[in-house]
Amino acid sequence: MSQDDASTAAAPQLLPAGWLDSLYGGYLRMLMAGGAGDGLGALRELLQGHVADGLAGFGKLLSGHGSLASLVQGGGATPLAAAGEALKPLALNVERAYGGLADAFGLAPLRELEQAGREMASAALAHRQAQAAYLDVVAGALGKGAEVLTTRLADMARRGESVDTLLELLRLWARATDEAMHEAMQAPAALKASAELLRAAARSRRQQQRVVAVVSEALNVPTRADMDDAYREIQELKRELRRSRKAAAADDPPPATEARRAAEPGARRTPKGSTAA
Amino acid sequence: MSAQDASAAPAGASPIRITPQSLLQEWQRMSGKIASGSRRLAELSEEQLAIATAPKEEIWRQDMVRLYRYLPADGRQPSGVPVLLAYALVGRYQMIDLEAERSFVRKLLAQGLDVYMVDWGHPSRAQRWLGIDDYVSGYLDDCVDTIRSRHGVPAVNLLGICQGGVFAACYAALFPRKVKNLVLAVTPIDFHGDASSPEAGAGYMNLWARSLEPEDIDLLVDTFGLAPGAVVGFSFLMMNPVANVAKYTTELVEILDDEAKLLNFLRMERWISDRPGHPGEVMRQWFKDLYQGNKLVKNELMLGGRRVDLKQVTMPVLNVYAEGDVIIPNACSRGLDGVFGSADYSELGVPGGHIGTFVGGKAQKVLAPSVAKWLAQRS
Repeated sequence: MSQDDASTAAAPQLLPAGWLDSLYGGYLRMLMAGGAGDGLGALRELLQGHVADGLAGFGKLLSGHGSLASLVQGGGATPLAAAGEALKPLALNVERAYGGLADAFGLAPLRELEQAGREMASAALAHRQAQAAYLDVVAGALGKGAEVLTTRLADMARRGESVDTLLELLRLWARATDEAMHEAMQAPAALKASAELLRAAARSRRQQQRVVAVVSEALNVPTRADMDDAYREIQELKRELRRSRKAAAADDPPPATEARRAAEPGARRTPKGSTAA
Repeated sequence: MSAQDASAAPAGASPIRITPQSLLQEWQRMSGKIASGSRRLAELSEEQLAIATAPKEEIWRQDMVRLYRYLPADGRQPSGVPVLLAYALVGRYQMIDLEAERSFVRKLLAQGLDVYMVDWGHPSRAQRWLGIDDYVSGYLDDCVDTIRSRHGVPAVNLLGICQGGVFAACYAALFPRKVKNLVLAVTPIDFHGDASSPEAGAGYMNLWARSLEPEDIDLLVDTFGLAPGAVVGFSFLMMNPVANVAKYTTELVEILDDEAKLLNFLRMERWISDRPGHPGEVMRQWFKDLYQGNKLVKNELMLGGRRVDLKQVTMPVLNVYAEGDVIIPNACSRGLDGVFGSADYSELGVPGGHIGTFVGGKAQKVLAPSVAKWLAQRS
């Protein structure tokens, strides 16, 4: 064995080969796994305040693992779910007993922020799941595009045509993939995934806005909702003004001489500047 | 791509004839193009890239909306009833005056028309509460009244493009005495026209909008308030995702050493990158009442408490559609003879796509002369 071989053989392998792919693949699989009982679902339940369901989910997860199985033997997730059920009234009664006291000390925003933060995290998780599902559809379409390209190339071969440059090949691929994408993205499954992605993105954004609103209110900074309310009132006032102006103008036609002068090409007599709404 | 003798091509052989030598030659060719293209890009001036250069003057303004009057071509005196052009909110009006050689506006001016344009501007979050009625009965009506007052005429010619065409149709229905002739270009009127006869690769926005629940639209609008221009642009990009990406790679490389084509490309990109935001309340009604409810063609659309009845559109109507339109399928924009109350309804098919109708080479020869002739016959 050469010195190089010896050094290579002796180098410790800190991580299994392909560990990054396994990790990322596991992450994607986790995002796309739905239903109760999986780790992500359990986490979402906990974030949304469903303590019993969340702990039950973790219980089921743990039941598949060696030494920890003893914790949940004989009932799957029952002990953890039971613990969750026991915690629920405790958490509620602590809130009832001490909530007012906490508010008196100015801790209301913190409590609200904690709630909003949990919901924001849950919504962000749902958003990631929706993105993964959508990307799954896109990946399918790309794969289909490759099939279409292969078929096209085979047809070209039968006709005796050839592809002589890389650019031509890329263009063929682009056309084939575009067709496959159109077909896939207009199918019901893709439309459903797209709609779900939109909902998840909007909900995630709303939770982010809620967190910002809680902090803004605590700091006496106008919130987005305050500004929108002001803009709405302004717009309503503009509409009323417009209606009044048009009602008045209806009884007052423009003088003909002014119209004739203004109609001359190149006449720049019309004053610029804002008009009332 | 070359066709060889069938006898020379063994059955089942791959058609790919890319050899290391051809790859090297192609690389050298591309490198040369990229090098000369880079030099050309560095030398281009701002004036060369300017779009919407037809001379015009600002006549009126309100909030972010402007009304322009184009100066006559070559000192000619324009004749006839003025025509007001109303573009969509989802893109800037500059597209129909993209460059001197491909300008629908200049061609109308060359036909002797007196041309006005309403520029909807760039709405901000402050305009999130603007609805379709604010645009139709507010801004558009003010523009029409300004032109009527300047020229001492009771009615103007109105030409609406895409979403602007919907606004124009609504306006003509609500204020028929103020519109002499109505021209609609690439305008969706029957938003469900494609439902029974879907075209492959077309009408994605229709399908997508109908796949949502009305509550989804409310969630979207209540959350975001104003659709940012970038998001609107992205939605158009996604209608042809791969082709649009290829445009910036494989297609751009080919035109780098052709100054005329490169300038065309850059000017179009300038227009594409200038996407205005879309007021939320317009979006809410656009998606719920039009895309989902299809209320316009059913005469159920309500604007400002008034029902838009297309049967009140009694003036002559010219409906221009793009034969290759994938954004507004032909099923949504043509065959509308019985929809309007007009006894003088005509259709004109123009070669090209949704945008190509205004900037395409073939369309340039058809659209403006046809519109001008149609208007002149009804002055």
